[in-house]
Formats: sequence, C-alpha cells, structure tokens
Amino acid sequence: MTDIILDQAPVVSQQEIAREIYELHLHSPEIARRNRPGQFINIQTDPAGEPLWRRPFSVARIEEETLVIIYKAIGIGTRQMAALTAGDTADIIGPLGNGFTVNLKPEVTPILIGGGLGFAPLIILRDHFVAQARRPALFMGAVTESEHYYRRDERADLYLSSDDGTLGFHGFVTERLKRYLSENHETDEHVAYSCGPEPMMKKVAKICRDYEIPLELSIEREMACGIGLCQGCAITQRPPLKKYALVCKDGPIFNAEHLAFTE
Amino acid sequence: MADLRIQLGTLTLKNPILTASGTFGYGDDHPDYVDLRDFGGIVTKSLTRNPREGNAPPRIVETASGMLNSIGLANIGVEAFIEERLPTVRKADTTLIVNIAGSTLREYCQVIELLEEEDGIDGYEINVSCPNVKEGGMEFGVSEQHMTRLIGALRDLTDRPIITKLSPNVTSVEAMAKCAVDAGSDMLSLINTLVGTAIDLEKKRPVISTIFGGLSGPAIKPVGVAQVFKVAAAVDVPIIGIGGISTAEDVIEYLLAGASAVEIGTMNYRDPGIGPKLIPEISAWLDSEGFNSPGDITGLAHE
Repeated sequence: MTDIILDQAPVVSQQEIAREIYELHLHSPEIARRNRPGQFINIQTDPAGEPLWRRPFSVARIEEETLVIIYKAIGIGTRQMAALTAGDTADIIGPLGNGFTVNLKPEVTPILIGGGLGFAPLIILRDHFVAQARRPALFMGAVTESEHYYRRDERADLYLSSDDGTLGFHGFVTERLKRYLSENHETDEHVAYSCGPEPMMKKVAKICRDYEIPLELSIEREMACGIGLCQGCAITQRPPLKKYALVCKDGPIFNAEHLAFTE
Repeated sequence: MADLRIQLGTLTLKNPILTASGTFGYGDDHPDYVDLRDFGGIVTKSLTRNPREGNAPPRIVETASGMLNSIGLANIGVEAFIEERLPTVRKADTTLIVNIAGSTLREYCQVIELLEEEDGIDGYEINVSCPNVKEGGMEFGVSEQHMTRLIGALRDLTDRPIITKLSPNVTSVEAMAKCAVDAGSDMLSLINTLVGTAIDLEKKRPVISTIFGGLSGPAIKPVGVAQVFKVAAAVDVPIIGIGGISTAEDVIEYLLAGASAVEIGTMNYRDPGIGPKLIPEISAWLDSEGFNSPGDITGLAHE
C-alpha cells in the first residue's frame, strides 16, 4: 500500500529551453503537495499504447500546484511528450521513489553536481536548500554551450563547465569540482548530491570518498512500471546489502557507497 | 445486465479478470487507487521455497508492442510470504491464487506443503514454464514425462484447485495440456511468455544479461489466442487465457477461443487498474449481443 496518485494532469505550458531539451509544466496539485526532492513521476506518453511503458522523470521543480519536468526528446516516448501543448492532458502517476536526504546540520554546505540532464533533479533540491536559507554550490556540466539550460543563479554559487570550452570551465564537471574542493574543503563542511552519466557519477564518488564527503546519487534505469511490480530496474549493491535493489522503489536516490558501480 | 460471475471448476469468481503472475506483486504491492475487490481474482508472483535474488541486470527491454523480461523468479520465498503478506492479502474480497515455482520436484512439493497449512488460499497456479531459470524450471513445461511426475506429485498434496500454467515454447501445446490434465490438473492457464532476444547495436551484445527473455505484451496476443483455441479443442477442463490482453475486445476474443477467464499481465505495468476498467465494456458487449454471462460465450468460436 502506497500514497501514489494517478492523475490526468493538464499541460500548463511547454518550451524548448536548450537544443532538444524541453521544460514541461503539468498541473497536478496533489502530486505537487506530496512530492519530495528526488522523487519522480511516470508519464504515459501515448494513450493508444505505443510505446508500451510509461516514461519516468524526476520532478525538477515545483511551482505551487505545478510539476516541472526537464527532458531531452531523443526517443519515441519523449518525442510524443514534446508534442504536448497547453490544454492537453498527461496521464501521470507519482510521487514515486524515495527522495534525497535533506535534513542537514546548519553549518553544512550542500554541493550539487549534475551532468547534462542529470542536473534536472538537483534543481528541486537547490530550491529546498535555498528555502532553508542555505547557499548551495551548484556544478552544472554539459558537452557544449547549446546543451546548457541552467545558466544563472543569484542565490547559489553556480559553476558551469563544458567539455568543449564553449561555456564556463573548459573540461569535465568533475575537474571543476576537484578544484573547488581543493580551495574550500579545508574550511567548509560539505554534503554532496549528484546525477548524470554513470562514468561521471563514478568519478564524483571517488572524489567525495577522497574528501570524506557523504554523497547521494540519483539513478536512472529503464522501468516497465515504476512502482515495484515488474522488478525490472534492478541495480547491483555492495555486500553485505542485498545483492539487487530496485531503482524505482528502493531508489532512485542511493548512498553512493552502497552501489557496486561506484567502487 | 449480464451477470459477470464465472465458474472455474469449483471456484466462483465475481468476474473473468485475474492478474497474471509476476505483474502484480504478492497482492499488497499495488497503489491505493487500485481496489482488489474489483478483480475476479489475483495471482501472486511465483513463490519458491527460499528467497531468490533474481537475475543480474539488465532484466528488461521494451520491444514493439511488448517487452522482454528476465527477472529470474526474484521473490521473497514462501515463508516470508506466509508471515508478512498472506495475513493482509487473504482478507481481500477476491479470489486468491498462489503461483508456485521451483527448480526441482521436491522444491515445488515443499512450497505447496507450507501453503497447505494456511487458510485463505483458493488455488495454486503451477509455473512449469518460466524460461528464465537455468536449473530446470523450463524442463517441467516442455517434457511430458516431467510434467506428469510434477503435477501427479502436487495432486497428492492438495485438494485445492491446481491450475497448470503452460509454456508456448513447445512443439505441441495440446500434448502438454493433456499430460497435465491426466496427471490431475483441474485447470490450465496459458500462455506464459515466448522466448525472445534483443541485441544492443552499440554494444553489439544481447540487451538483457541472460541473453534470452520472455516476450509479453500486445505483440503476443494472437499466439495466445491460437494456443487457447487448440487446447480448448483438446481437453475438457476450464482454461484461463493469458497473453497480450489490453482491451475488452481482447478478453472477449480469448473467451470465444475457449477460455473461461483471463489473466492480464504486462498492461498492469502501464496501469495496474486496467483489469477492472474493462469490466463495464465486457458487460455492455454481452448485453448488446444478448448473452447473459461470460460463460455463455466460452468456446463459441469452435461451433
């Protein structure tokens, strides 16, 4: 038994915010009220049945009664989503999954490291910390300038990077993170959160381990149901934990040191 | 208004729609917006003697109008089911079928022996056809000799209805059906998933870790209807049709082919409440065609 809601959510608006990257606003007061940072919704992209599975997306922001989803239109489901306009409705379920650990000691500075679309689930976390009057450090990396969709933040320290040097620091977001920690970690206490490609998250985990910074990761997996029925989204954990956890139910947020791929 | 109740051997179900094993958890894993009372029955995930971790990821891949899965019978084990889940699930006002699986004949027997101690179970569905377990689960479903021994042994252990769930991955589904019925199976359910593979073009390797998985979803419906049609002509026990059902028309097709009831599986992943949503439409169709109950159309396509 769960507190998951099924909702026919009206589309409030949708716009392309970077190359092939869309921001979708869905009016869903009950899910918006229940959703915690790090949780996700599962969208049925086509009522006729193709594709078969819903598509899972972390909630990137909540604006009163509206859920904001940021995604890239790369496959059949996301292209269908990109065609939604104000007045359409989306069949969604949520909130799903466990959410980030957000109760931090007052003196801690949260650092949020996102690669590409992986930055999206960190935005709601940033909002949560800013509402607590903290000033988080945000690291947003992308391949190139045109894929950057989060460029300004007055209430956080934002460090942009691009692999090709077209915006911000020239290089991987992990290199920018290393420089930041070498300059700040002696004086500040940190807790880290990250989402992005797994090779990037593996590097983030190594850096955080070296600096003894606790780290939570938001994990993405293909899911047939998103609610624990299909057992398809298994991820391998380290002993002595049970060998496989379900990303949809046990996650999508995991302690980095619980997962096998970060070793 | 048609009376949606159906008779499955000694069991009376309030409607012909059950959940398929492995798509609805243990009967207490669904969201609150789904009400168990609205189902004809629920079939649990396969239970084995001991808990099973299941197969390594990746376990699933989406395909055209379907999906492949290779979960590997991941389950909490029969004892945890009895202690932690059954007390809640048995209270639900619906028919409860427990699906059992094993690697050996002895394991199947042990699972049923433990369940026989418990009240509130209306019948057993025997998974002889899970294609994702190396140790031999499949063997029982594809060998007449093994099927006869297994169902015969389980028959001796219980008076509750036994439903044998047949594999489509055989030369003659009728032969396997007769074998199960002769050994004492009260009913049959079919089909389980079809063996399939998908290959990742980038990695140039199979997508799922075990190479082969079970294909399910709307893509397999014609195969399920065909096999139900064949088995209905070959045996004289109630049949539960399974495979690719997503609409009321699909349910009616299976009934016309010879099924007395159906199980809905893969579409529960999209919407776990889909089964009960089809009921009004089935009822309306029966009314419009002048039939009084689903039982009136079972096997009509054979006449």
